[in-house]
Amino acid sequence: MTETEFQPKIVAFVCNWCSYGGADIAGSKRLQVPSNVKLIRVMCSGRVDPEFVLEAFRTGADGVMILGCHPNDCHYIEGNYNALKRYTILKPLLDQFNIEQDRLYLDWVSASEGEKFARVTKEVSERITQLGPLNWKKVMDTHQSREV
Amino acid sequence: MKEKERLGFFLCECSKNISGTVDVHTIKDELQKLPGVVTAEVTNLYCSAEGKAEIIESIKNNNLTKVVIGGCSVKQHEHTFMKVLEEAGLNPYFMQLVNIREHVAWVTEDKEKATAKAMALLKAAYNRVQFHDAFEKKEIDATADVLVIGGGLAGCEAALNLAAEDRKVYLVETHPSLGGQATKYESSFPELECCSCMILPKLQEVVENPNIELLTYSDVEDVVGFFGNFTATINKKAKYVIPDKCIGCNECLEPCPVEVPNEYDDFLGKRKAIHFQVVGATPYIPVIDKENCLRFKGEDCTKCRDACMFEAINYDDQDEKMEISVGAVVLATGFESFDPTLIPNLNFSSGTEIYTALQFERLISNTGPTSGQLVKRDGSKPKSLVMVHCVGSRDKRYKNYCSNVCCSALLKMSSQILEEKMAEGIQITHLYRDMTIGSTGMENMYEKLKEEGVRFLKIPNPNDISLNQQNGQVQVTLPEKTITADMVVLATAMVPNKKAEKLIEMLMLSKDEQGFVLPTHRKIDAVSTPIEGVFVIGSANYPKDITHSIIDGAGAAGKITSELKPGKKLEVETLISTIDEEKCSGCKTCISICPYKAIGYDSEKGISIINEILCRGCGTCVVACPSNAITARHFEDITILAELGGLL
Repeated sequence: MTETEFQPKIVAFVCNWCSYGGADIAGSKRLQVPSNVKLIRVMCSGRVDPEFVLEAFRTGADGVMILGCHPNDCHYIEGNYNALKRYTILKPLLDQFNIEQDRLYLDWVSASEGEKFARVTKEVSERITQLGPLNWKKVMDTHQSREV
Repeated sequence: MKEKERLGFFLCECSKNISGTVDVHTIKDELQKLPGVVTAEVTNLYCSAEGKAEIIESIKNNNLTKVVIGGCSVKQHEHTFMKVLEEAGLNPYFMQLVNIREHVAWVTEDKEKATAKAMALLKAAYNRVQFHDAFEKKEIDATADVLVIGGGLAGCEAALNLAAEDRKVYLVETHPSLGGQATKYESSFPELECCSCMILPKLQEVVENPNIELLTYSDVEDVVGFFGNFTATINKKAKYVIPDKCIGCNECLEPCPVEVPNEYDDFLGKRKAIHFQVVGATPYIPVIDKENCLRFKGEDCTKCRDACMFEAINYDDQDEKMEISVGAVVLATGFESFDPTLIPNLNFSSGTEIYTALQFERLISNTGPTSGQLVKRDGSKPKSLVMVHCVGSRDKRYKNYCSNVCCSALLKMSSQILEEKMAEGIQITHLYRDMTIGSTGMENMYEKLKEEGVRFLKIPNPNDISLNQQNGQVQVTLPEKTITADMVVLATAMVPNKKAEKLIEMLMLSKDEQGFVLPTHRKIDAVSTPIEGVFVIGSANYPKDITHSIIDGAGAAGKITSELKPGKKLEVETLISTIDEEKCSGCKTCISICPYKAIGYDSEKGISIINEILCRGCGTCVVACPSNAITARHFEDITILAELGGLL
């Protein structure tokens, strides 16, 4: 496989109420969404455990997205704020694992924003394609040698 | 795949919607090879009657334990297929619907890529379903009785629609009488219909309704609990008048030696310490206000008791607390007037010829301080009147919203003055920014006023004019000229009732940036709130006129009657979070993070406890728990990680 053919594996955690719906609208409008972005539905973006994100990277994801309701629109009042807080803490930590911060992406996609869903998945996919594959073994080796 | 699991895949072609892009037959052949998969099938349309029957037959014939359906959005058919499983005798949660239509077929042109993506999603579901547990619907006992807080028109309408032989309504009003702000108006727009004639029969209906327990001059001090099971503590303030004995003859008022500004006239006139809210109030029974009565300042005054022919005065009356059980709470606490002293250039102060619109309503009302005579403070008739729109409204410096009602109210007052010939030859001038009059009939009134010589001056922002009191008149300084008026009326913005703040906090409701209570949704769920069983109506959630307040009241009543049926149990959310008592360390992190206040602390056991009725299953506490003691049903860590593993 040449560098240009690299297709990153991207997992997108989407909340049930807004962003899953946004993805549905992208479908209804027959927009194009990169096929390498695959969705996991959770009830709320506040359910996305930072451990899920790390586990995704560990098991082969090149990028992880967290998509939730817009501020003030959360079905569970403030779960998206909790998602934002956790993301803010997790993101700089990724550096410590030699994972580029750009591999993790959080955004708000409402149940009507099919265009936005298609746009952000495309943008993230392109960005991570440029970053290239996340070689977890290399990451861990670097990490461990740093610890020593 | 766990042992003994017998899994079935059902791949929907959705005519060509899915199979046009996703090669379902190739996928079927692949899936069939997975361990534990008993059957993988393809049909044209699984949501059709025939399709559903095929699934049921297959579940029964193959003794399936778990089912994965490749089809459309969970928003469209998750419920459909859960029912299919139930019909086939399986727990409805033993199913995963994978969206290979909206999320794959419709968004992917390349057939190969689409097929590969669908395959990955279905494998993730294959991993996931083996961790699906069975959950049963849960029902709880509930009372259908309702607490309505606020006896304005919205609250009264809700109470009247809710009260029934098998449903008691507690209507709590902080003031002595019902009707709220609407009792201040002589007439309503656009028909200039007599407001008392319109609303008093409705208020009387409330008083006479045997299924409404009317608690006037009372405050809600505490509400705890949850949908179906709230407990409220109410303080019935001492009235010092025995309602059963008082006939409302007024004889006690005159002898009272105390005079204080009358809050029911927006402090325009005066009232006694023993007083009615307004003349003809419902119920028409006076109260003694303890703050001002001489007896409560240590003097031995008995003038009102001496004047009473019915022995209705009882100075020994005490506040009385009562506790009630209700299934739902309706908040109808209304609005108050924006304080115009916050705009310094308006120089508003009491005792001048500058009035708020509510004060002016009282001035031209038959039950007001001048018995409806339009006169200045010196008793003379005004020859000129300036009405200022949008005071404190639509201005980022003050309140950045339109109060909806004020333009119509000012036009209505102008019509009232002219129709009733309150002041011969009076020149009325409106200073407005935009004329916001939505209600039917208002346009005709506006046109008629123009024909009758009322002036309408459009100015950039009414909050920028200057008002100065001079020799009993008011100088009104506009951007390009100055006019003189005998009287000025300020249409002040409608702002949230400050007295409701404690209640809003108690009921755990959220407010918008202006302080109005946020409903679940401003358009499609405008009277519900995110706190189940708590409703917000009338101007407590946005400035409203009488029409919309009444509609709100009826709307909330409709929602409650359909959700809370007398004698019926209440179905609660199945997919909630649960705490493992063994693992919980009692750190209370989850308690602070739960948006529904659904988690409490058991001090005996030293652990957190999730209230199964309040929990909505968002799962944010699961992530927050440092001991991994909390599990989100159907979205357990192990289930999500299994799904993730299948995806990558």
